Amino acid sequence: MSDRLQGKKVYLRAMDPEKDTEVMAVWQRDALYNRFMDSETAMMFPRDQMKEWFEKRLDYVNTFMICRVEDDRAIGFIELADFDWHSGNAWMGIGIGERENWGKGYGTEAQHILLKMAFEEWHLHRVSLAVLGYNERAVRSYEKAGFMLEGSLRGFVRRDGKIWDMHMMGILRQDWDALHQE
Amino acid sequence: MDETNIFIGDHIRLTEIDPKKDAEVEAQWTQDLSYARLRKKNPVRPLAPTEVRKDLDEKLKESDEGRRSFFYAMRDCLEEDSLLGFMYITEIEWKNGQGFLRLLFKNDETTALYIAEGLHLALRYVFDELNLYHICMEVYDCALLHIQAIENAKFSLEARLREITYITDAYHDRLIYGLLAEEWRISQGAER
Repeated sequence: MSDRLQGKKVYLRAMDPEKDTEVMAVWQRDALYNRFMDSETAMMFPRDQMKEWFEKRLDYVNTFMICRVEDDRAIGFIELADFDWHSGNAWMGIGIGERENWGKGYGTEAQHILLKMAFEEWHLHRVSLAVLGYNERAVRSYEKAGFMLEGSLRGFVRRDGKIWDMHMMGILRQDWDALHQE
Repeated sequence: MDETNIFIGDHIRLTEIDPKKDAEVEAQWTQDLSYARLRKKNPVRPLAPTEVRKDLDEKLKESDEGRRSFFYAMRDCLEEDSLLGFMYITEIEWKNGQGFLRLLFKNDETTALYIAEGLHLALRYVFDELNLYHICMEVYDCALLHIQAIENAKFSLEARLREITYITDAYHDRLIYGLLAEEWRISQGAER
């Protein structure tokens, strides 16, 4: 059996709209989580609407639940979307739901598992992401996983009467190989 | 109120798209793969008139329903029917005053002749009518005519997404340029 999806603290499994919509809807109720996820208006949706949306997305987005090894609990999600298979690029999104699970290295390990999949199984050339300027914890985690800051779109989001940039980050297959040579 | 018709420049004018007629013309342009690349995700190939028509219809429907994207034709001022290219303003986030601008001209010769004026008309619409705060333009590192015109219009290079696309036997970077409304107003003041 392959242990590709297994890490020390977390493992990844397929996202199942039937089973996972409930917990993902609950995460959205924390405005901070919601505002980390999107530059657009933070919103909440009825369960049925969310489930239908997740079901449709499965056709073109590869979403995994991040589960904790110690208790099998789904604590977040990680996904690759907007594939350009011809150029070998996809865009990553990740969220760790409850605040008590932030800053514990779960997201960094989940990224490691996903990037290994992306480069060694799916043969991608590059993985890209965009992150809001005020989400400094996420930027540090992306850097730890090997992403490089490639620029910042100025004044991209307005919240709380302030204006922040949107950072653009990317990791190439060659960056990944250099990091994991040994 | 300024009485200027902001849809008209010295040589080109912005008009509504005619999905049926314009699709016939644009489909022919896609026979040149460097144009087709502006219109279709990878893998690149020419498009048939029915495909272009369907795509234009979808774009106009999206614009009408969401009011988060705007699509116009750029035509020769002297010959009303002569299509030169298209202007797309997409992914507008009203709450953040953001959007993405693209100018598509039928070939390099037309790009060289008209991109500066096309940008002038587009930016006037973006900042004076849509009231956006910041506009982005994305180009590949091999689109030299576009890069030069964008830099001449005082955009700053804000991000370089390394090797994000594969074009004619090589990986290329995507450059994202940005211009703030206040920078645009200063550059307009300097021109007057």
